Amino acid sequence: MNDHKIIFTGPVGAGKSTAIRSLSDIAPVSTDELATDITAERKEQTTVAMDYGVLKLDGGETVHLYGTPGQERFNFMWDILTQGGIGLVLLINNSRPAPFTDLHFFLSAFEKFIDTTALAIGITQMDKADSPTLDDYYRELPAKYFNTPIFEVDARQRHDVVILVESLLFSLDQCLEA
Amino acid sequence: MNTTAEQDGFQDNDAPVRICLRGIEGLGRKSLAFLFSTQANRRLELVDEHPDAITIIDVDDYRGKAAWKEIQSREPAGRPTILLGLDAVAQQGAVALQKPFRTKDILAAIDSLLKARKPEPEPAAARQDSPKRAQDATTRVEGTGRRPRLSAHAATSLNERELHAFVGSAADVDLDDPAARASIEYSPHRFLAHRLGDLVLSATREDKYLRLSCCDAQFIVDPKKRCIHTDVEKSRLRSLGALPMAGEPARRQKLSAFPDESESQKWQCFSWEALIWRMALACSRGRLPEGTNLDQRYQLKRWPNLTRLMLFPHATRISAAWVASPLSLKEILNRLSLPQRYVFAFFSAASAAGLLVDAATHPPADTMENTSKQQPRQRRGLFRRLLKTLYKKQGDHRA
Repeated sequence: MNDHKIIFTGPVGAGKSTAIRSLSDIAPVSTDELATDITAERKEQTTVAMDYGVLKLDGGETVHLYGTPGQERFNFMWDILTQGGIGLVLLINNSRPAPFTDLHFFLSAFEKFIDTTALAIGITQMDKADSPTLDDYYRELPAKYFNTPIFEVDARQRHDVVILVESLLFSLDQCLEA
Repeated sequence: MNTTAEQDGFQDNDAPVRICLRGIEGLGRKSLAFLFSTQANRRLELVDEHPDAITIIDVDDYRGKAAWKEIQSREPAGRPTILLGLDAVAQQGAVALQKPFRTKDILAAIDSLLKARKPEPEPAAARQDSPKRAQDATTRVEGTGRRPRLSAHAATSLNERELHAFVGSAADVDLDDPAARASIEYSPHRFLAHRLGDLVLSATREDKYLRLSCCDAQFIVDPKKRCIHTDVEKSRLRSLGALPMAGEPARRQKLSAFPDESESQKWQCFSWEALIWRMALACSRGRLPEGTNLDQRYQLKRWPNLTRLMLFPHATRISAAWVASPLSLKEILNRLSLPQRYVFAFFSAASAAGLLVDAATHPPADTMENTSKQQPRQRRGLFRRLLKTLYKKQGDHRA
């Protein structure tokens, strides 16, 4: 039986763990621990390994939901994590000091994976920081990502996360429902 | 889980009684609109056209006479109608009111028509607000005889009333037949959504606050916050969007700063994309702006912010197709095999919001590196099952 996976990535506090919790059929296996480094200034707990959730499909198939570790010292895991993945959901926290820097960092880190699959971007915390706007993000995207979906997202809202995943799938195959 | 209507910051509460006026313009129309807006115990809403609407016709007016003839020929079984006239006579199930009449007379006539309506018995099982019911509603409205599709995302939480109000229920027409084509067109310049869309374009270009006064309402486009301030209550916005503005003089004013008046500070502020999108759906109801060239190619400048918009069936899929490459309406209908009204509703909303533009004015896709990838076809089955699971659970999570 085939198992498949969707990868959630983004900087610390972008909502990866929450987004997986919003979608998962099981209580997500979270490896959040008390933050002891600079991360502690942003959130009390941070993901030191990875988050894991599951979507069970009719017929017994499983789609695994993986959240990448929020700390850069775990970057070595990303290549392994993405192998065979359906696509990438990138969450950017708009209230961080330099969200565009985060954007470019993750686009660059996952470039190979994105180039062979698809990308959907969710901007979180826009209620706290309304700038940059979605239009600003589109202007900032490298030209090759011009058709990437970018939405304002509240990771706690399943509705929002579903639209992100839905747009990811339709970006890959617009004839999906035909 | 929020319903789609709530998601964009707007909300429809109790079902309103829809009223459609024929042959009543100018002062008469305004007087009735004012009367209906003051009825706290009845939610009376003026609409352009709706299958469930009560129609009020002034038979002394030539347009009213024509409308009544049309109703008689189109619906011999009759529809709830009030005939106003100096010598109006009740006929074919219609209530007559002789002029001059008092406000309580017309309200009593509306009440009598409402009482005469036989509510359709609803099976007990269907009364529960279950995802199954929502799915059925979507499927039933399709009415195309095609195999039921996975309805697109929050489509499953759109109820039939919202579908009627925002996407309509028109069947596909032969687009090469001029008469059929005319039946699915509307004049965009007569509707507020498109007027506001133009205003947003100007405000952005000039980086100025712009005020629009019309329909007894005020709108100020705020280019800084990318929003529209208005004194209109949420509950009135849809009907305001659905009604043509014909005859209403609109005043447009450039402001050097946001007015400091205490009253305007209390106005509500809506994302312009969400407000225009919603109002354009209300006026389009699955129709096309007149004069739209079906062969001209359009492209989305970017994805609509679907998580914060009134989402209707297939909107995500249409977005994906129109953002990936320039397509004409004929091409997109052909590629996606969708009922026309969904594509036309999307076209109206996205073009009014300034997102869907003439492909000739947009950088052609072939100058950019198109990264769209088609994963192997064998994954299509997986994606379909994944979507089905997401939609099913979306319904399960409804509050």
